[in-house]
Amino acid sequence: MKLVGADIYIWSEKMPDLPKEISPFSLLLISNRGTKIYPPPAPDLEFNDWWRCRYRAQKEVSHADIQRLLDTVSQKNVWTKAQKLFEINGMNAYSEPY
Amino acid sequence: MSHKAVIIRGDGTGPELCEAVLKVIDASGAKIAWSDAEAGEKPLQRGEPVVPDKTIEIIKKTKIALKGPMTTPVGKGSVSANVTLRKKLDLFACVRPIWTLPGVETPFKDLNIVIFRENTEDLYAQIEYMATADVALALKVISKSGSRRIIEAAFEYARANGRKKVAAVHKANIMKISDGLFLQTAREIAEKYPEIEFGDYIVDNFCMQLVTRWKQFDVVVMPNLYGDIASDLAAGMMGGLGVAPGANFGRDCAVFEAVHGSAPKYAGLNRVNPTALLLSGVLMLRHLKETQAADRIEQALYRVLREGQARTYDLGGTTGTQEFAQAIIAKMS
Repeated sequence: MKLVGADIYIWSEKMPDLPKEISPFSLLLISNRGTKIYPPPAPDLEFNDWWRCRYRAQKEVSHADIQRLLDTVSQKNVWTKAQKLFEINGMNAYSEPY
Repeated sequence: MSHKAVIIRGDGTGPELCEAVLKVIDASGAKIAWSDAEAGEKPLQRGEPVVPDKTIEIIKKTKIALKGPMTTPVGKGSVSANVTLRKKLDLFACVRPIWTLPGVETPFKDLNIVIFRENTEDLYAQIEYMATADVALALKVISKSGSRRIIEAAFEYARANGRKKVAAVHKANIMKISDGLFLQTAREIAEKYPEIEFGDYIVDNFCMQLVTRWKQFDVVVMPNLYGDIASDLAAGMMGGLGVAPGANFGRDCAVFEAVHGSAPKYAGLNRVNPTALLLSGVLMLRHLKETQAADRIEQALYRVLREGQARTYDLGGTTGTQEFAQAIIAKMS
């Protein structure tokens, strides 16, 4: 399994304002109830207060890289859960949002 | 009064079902200006999203759509077009009325139940991971806000339609936090509707009681996964997926659909029963306050079903899709 990023779940009344780049990661998407909100266009939905924020790297990263990512994100946000993202045999081992 | 509505003809048998149903709706006297929109296999084959943005936009504009069945890939491939529509339009309430149809043989007499299924959360958030090489995870998302709006919709429906009881269905004995939140929310909302009797059922017990003591149920409300399973069970009690209609409501938009799949092996064979999609169209007409047209279709359909001379294969006959629709039209004139 190749570690490539993390989904960080942030507790916020509004969509969190996050850095687009936290090297070596890029902010790939934000979803709410499994529906993509970022990047635009965002559907006109009623949101809950739990936002999935996906940071993904172009190449394999270390577990220490994920820890640094969490440290950076948590400077201005409250995260309640994080899930490491893996590739298995070149395929994403995680689901995509609607 | 003339209305605007979107028609999504769907995959497999969807186009021929829509053709039949639009003829019946047209013959009912309802004035509908239909706009075609695509979702499902056709846009996918062109490399577009399973529900193109322009389809979402046109439904947002017209606020009403009738949708034929669409094919959902199993295991891998694209996400479900049906679930995508519900999520992108925030159609949080799936409403599935179940009642006894004249002339449709079933052991379950005097059915009269309306199922409210939450449509946007639960395991259908489709948040899944391989956590290790051995372990796969799916997140079950239940929010108080999401539970509140579907439960309030069920109670409001009960109040507006003179229904006496609302039951919440859950598995809070095992999933004490997630289903517990759904149940707790239901209990809180029930207090605001003192004229409506409230009860709750664990989902496995509910299924058992549904097929043994169905007359005790009136309006039932449940999270997404249980609603998906129980509403198909109830559709079977009504006579099968070929006759069971469905509707999906959000704050602004409503999409009406048959609850069955696209039956691709029957595509182009003029065999599939259009009743489910037609009754979904009747629900749409009632939503549009086209009561006379809705009554006209329903009564004509009931006469055809009761007389039994035109029956599609699922109900033991040999009548084709289009001929069945013509038989209904003949009863309206």
